[in-house]
Amino acid sequence: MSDLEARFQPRKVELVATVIRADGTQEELGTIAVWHRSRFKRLLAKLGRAGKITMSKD
Amino acid sequence: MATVLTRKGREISISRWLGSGSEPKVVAWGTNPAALTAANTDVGMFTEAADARVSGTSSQVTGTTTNDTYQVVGTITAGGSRAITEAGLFDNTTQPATATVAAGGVVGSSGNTTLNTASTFSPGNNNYIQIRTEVMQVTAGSGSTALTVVRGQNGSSAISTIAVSDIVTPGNPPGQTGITGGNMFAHADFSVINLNTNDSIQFTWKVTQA
Repeated sequence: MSDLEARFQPRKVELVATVIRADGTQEELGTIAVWHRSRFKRLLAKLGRAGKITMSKD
Repeated sequence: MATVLTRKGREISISRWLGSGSEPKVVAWGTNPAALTAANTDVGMFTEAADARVSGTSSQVTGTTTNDTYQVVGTITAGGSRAITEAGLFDNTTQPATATVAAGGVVGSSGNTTLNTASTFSPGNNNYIQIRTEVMQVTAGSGSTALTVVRGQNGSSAISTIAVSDIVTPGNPPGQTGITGGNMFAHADFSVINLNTNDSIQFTWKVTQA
């Protein structure tokens, strides 16, 4: 996505998931995909997924 | 692992501000076997799974400032073993009929304008389709197995990596409404979530406004 396109995105788009097994047990996966309009926050999210940094809440 | 509001999603947002259109609260999931990255040019899922789309529960919640986030929560249950790697948010529960790519034509070519399909495919002439990350417009041949297409539409790039058996998904770019169930508001790809029969995923989509 170009920088120009990014300017027209929302501030943040996030997808959170919880797996519910057939036996009723639940697995909280947390945020499985996220996009920030801020390039810096996108980088932080990417590093967080790689386990290199823990990102604080907005 | 991208999550994007699509170009169509922008149009849906503005339509909703004006009090028209349908609310984009229908959750879908897919398998994305080529591990493609979601882009705002997408008009459809890479490979939507057979399980029915689910109309979720929407609400207005707080993200950065009070009530600045649109949230949809929806749960889909697997009808068999699934390796889920993509999700979408739509405004209709109908899954558009898909096709698979057959040999020749666009296979391995970013310039060829003939799309051969394994069986008769009827998205409708002048409507749009997506193969992998490329959006194309069908200009002729709908209802046959040899469709004429215009490559690289809706801001996508024409690609040469199209292969036999790739999924062809119809969808609507902004300004188009020809495909029922083809209005994709948001699209995400992510690491695989493996499911067995009757396992479910509860998705929570959050779109925080500027």
